[in-house]
Amino acid sequence: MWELLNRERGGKRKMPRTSLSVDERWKLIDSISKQVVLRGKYKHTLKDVISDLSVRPMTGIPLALAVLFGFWAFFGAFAGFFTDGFAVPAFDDHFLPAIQRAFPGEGGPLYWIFVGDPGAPSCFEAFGVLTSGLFVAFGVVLPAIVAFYLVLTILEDTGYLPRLAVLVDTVFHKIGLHGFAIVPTILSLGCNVPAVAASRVLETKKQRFMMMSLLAVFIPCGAQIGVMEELLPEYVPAILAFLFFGYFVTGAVLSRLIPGRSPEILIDVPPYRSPIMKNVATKTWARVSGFIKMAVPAVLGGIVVVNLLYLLGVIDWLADALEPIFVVWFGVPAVTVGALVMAFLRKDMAVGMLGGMAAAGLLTTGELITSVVLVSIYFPCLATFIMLWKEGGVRDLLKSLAILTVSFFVFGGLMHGIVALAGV
Amino acid sequence: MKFKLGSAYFAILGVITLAFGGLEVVTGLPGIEGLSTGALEIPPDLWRGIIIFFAGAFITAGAFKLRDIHGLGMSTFGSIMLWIIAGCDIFTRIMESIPNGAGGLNSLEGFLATYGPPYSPALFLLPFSLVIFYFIKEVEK
Repeated sequence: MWELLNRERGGKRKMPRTSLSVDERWKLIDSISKQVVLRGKYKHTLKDVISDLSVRPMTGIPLALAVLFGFWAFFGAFAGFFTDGFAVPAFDDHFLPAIQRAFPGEGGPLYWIFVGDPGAPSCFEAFGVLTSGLFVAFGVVLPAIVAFYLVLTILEDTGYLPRLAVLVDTVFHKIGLHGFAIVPTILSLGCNVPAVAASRVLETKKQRFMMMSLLAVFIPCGAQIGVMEELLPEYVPAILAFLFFGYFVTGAVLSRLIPGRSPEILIDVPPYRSPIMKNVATKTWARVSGFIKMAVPAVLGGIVVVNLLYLLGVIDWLADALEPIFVVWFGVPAVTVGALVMAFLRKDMAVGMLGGMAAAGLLTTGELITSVVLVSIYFPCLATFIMLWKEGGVRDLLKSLAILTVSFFVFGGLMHGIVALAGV
Repeated sequence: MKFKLGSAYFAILGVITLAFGGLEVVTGLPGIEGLSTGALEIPPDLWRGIIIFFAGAFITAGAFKLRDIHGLGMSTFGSIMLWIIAGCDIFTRIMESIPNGAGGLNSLEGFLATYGPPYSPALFLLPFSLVIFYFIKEVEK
C-alpha cells in the first residue's frame, strides 16, 4: 500500500508514515480503485430487473400478495395432507378407541389426566395427555410447523425476505419501526420465542420493546394457526386480518406514547439465488427439532396442569368469578376460562381445547371465533413469557403485560362487537 | 420478426390473464358464486383474482418491449406471479390425490381422478406462459 502511494508521488518519499492525511487517503483510494475496478457500461440482467420490480411498490406489493398466497396455500395443503389425510383418521378411528379401552381405571383421576373424557368421539374433545396431547403435538402442530419453516427457509435463501423488508419499510415507519421488523414478525408466525430473540435486529430500546410487545400480543404462532386452520378454516384469514389490524393500531399508539428514537436503516439486499436443497433441509430440520424439543413437553405438561386444575375445582371457581366479564364484555361463555388458563402454557392446545368445546356444543361459531382471538391476544405462552423476561428484564416485562391487559379488553370487546354485527 | 410475434403473443396472453383475474375478483365478491363451465372452473377467491389480474397487467405491460431486458423482465415478473398460483394449484392436487380420506392411500382410479378437470384459469394459462423461457434465451444470446 505504501509503495502504491509512493509511486503516485513519483517515489519521492523514503520513510513510511504511521498516519495519512485525508488527501493522501483519497489518493490511495483512487489509485487502488483504478487498479481493481473495471469501468464500463453496466448491462442490466434479468435478475436485476426482477429484483428492482420486487421492491417497487406498484409491482412489489402484488408480488408480495402472490408470495403470501403461495405461503398460505402451501401451508394449508401440506398440513391438510398430513392432518386430515392421515392423522385425524388414525388418531380418531384407531388410536383413541384403543386407548380408551386399554387404559385402566375408566373415570378415575389418572384416566382423566391421561386419556380424558371416556366418551369423547375425537381426540380434540378427549383432552387427555395421551389423546389430545399426542394428537395436537404430532398430528396437527408438527405438519404445520414443518410447512411453515420450509417455506420461510426457501424465502430466506432465495433472497426475497430483504426485499420484503425494503417494500414494507414505509408502513413500519408509521408505527415507529422499520422494514426489518418484518423478519421477527414473520418468524413469530412460526414461533414467538425465536421471534422475540430476533427483535435484536432493531436498533433502539424503544423499537425492541415495541416489537417484543406486539409479537407477544398479536402474532399467533404457527402451531396455533395450524389448529385454527383445522377448526375454522374459512375464518382464519379474517382472524389474522383482525390481529394484524390490532398489531398496527397498537404499534401506532405505542410509537407515540413511548419515548425514544426510531432511526432509518440501510438494508443490504443480496441478489436473488436458487436455494440449495441441502441448506434448506438442514435449516428447516434445525428449526423444527428445536420447536419439537420445546413444544411437545409443554403441550403434554400443560394438559396435566390444566386437568389437575379441573379436578381440584380451580377452573370452575375461576369461571364463576370471571363469568360477568366473559359473558357481558367478550360475549363468550365462562367455560372458556379453562382454555385461557391453558393458553398460558400452550396456545395451540388452548385453541384445540376450544375446538373440543365447540364440538361438544358448548360454543357457537361466533363464540369460537371470539374465543380464538382472545386466546391469541391473551397472555403470551410460558416460553415467550420467559423470553420476554430474559430479553427486556422485569420492568419491560411488566410494561408489556400492561399493554397486553389493555389490548385484551379493547380488541376482545371489539371482536365481540364485530361478530355480533356480522351475525356469525 | 420473432420478437414482434412474441410481443403480440404476450400482449394477448396478458389480456386473457387480466380478464380471468377480473372474473376471479368478481366471483370472489360476497354474494357471488364461483363459475364452472366444462373444463374451466373460476374459484370464488378475491385474493387469487387480484394476483392474476396484476400478473396479466404486468405480462401485457412488458409485452410491447420484449426485446428490451426491462420489458422482458416485466413480462417474466407477471409470469412468475402466475406460476406461483398455478404451482399452488398443482401442489394442492398432488396433496389431495394421495390419501383416500379414511387414513389410507388412494386407489389408482381415485388418484388419477384428482388430476381431471375442471381446472383453474392459472392452470390453463401456465403452459402458455412458459414460452417466456424461449425469449429469455433469445435475449441472453
